[in-house]
Amino acid sequence: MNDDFLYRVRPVLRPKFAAELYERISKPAESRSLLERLLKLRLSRPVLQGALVLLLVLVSTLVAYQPARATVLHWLREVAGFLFDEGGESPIPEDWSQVTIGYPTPLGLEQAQSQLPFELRLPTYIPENFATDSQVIASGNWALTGWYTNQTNQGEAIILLVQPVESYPDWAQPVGEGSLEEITVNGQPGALIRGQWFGDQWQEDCGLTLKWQQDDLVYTLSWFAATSRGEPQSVLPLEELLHMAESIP
Amino acid sequence: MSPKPTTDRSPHEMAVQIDWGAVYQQRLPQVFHFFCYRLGDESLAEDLTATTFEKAWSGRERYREDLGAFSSWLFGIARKVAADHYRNRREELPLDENRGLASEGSVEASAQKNSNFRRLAALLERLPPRERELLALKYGAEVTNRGIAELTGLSESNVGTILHRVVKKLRAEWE
Repeated sequence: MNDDFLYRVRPVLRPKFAAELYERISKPAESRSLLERLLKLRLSRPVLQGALVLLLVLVSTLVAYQPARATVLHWLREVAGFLFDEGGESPIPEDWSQVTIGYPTPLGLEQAQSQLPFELRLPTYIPENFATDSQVIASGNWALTGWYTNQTNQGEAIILLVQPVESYPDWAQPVGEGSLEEITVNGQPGALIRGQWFGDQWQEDCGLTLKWQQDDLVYTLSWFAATSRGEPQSVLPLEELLHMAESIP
Repeated sequence: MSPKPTTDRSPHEMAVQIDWGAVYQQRLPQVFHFFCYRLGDESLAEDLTATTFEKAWSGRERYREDLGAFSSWLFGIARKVAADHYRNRREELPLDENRGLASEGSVEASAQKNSNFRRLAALLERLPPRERELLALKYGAEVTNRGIAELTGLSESNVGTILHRVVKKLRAEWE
């Protein structure tokens, strides 16, 4: 054993590992959209992780829930034309912290619009301290965009999901018991949901969601509180979220 | 790669001068081999190499080229990543398992894999942490004795003496 041996004996660096790591770290954070960064960063935050899983479950994998829905029909409640499973079980997988959410690359508004089968109209009123970078995750028949108080994973977020009525799933969205109210949004009947899933627990103060139909589109506007150790650290008055919803032309 | 000369630039301005592609190409194998020597496990070495480069990239604005060479900064991160790993491992493993890491049995088991590196790794496992780190810096990361001295706070002659003694000990155990 000599110096030469000690250099030669070293394991070979796998080219695939080197290439994958380079791709991961060399994409400048600045080139990622705010939405993309938030989706990535906020995965460590149970509330938003759960909520994003829920939103994407809503738009992508609901068919799988049909058999389960049949077993809980007696709990279903219809509010403003939307079905809810009030007091039902969290739809968020037990291993949600390990879930990798697959989503299309966020696009600029114009590019996203060109891929959507409907006109994406966005609110003209945004609550104070919230800002957007106008990035949209657009799939074949739904669009997701957001506004944030902080460009890291520390702030509040408001996420808007828009999808055509015909593609809205025939599915009862599980919500916490006593969290539902009927409300009017832009002159249309809508549902107000107070709270968000936090893993398998419903947290009453961690969020607000408005869901309503307008011009053959279903709008889901959700506010997520800033949280620390599962406790909400911020409040958004319902009037603010309503004002934002009603500013959608 | 070496950062370009600087004058009165801010830390951020200095940081953006770093040619990240060149840094990666040059330093990745060294950091990976540092962890191979430090941990004796290629898979774990890949994980900690990734952690090191992710930390370096995200903390690139904190790099001050006026305070030292880029390689010293990078290996400073790698050393801390390794220390964190060992600290976490101590917290996770029951005492018996910690003891088992350096047992005679694990040396024999590793040797049976018929791999020189595995056999060497089993021997490295028995070294005190400081000696193992010096070997990792010298033969894994290819840092000079002077560079190791700067990183560890030891004198250059002390580094040379320790390395000489450790290699001699390894050679005896290898044969």
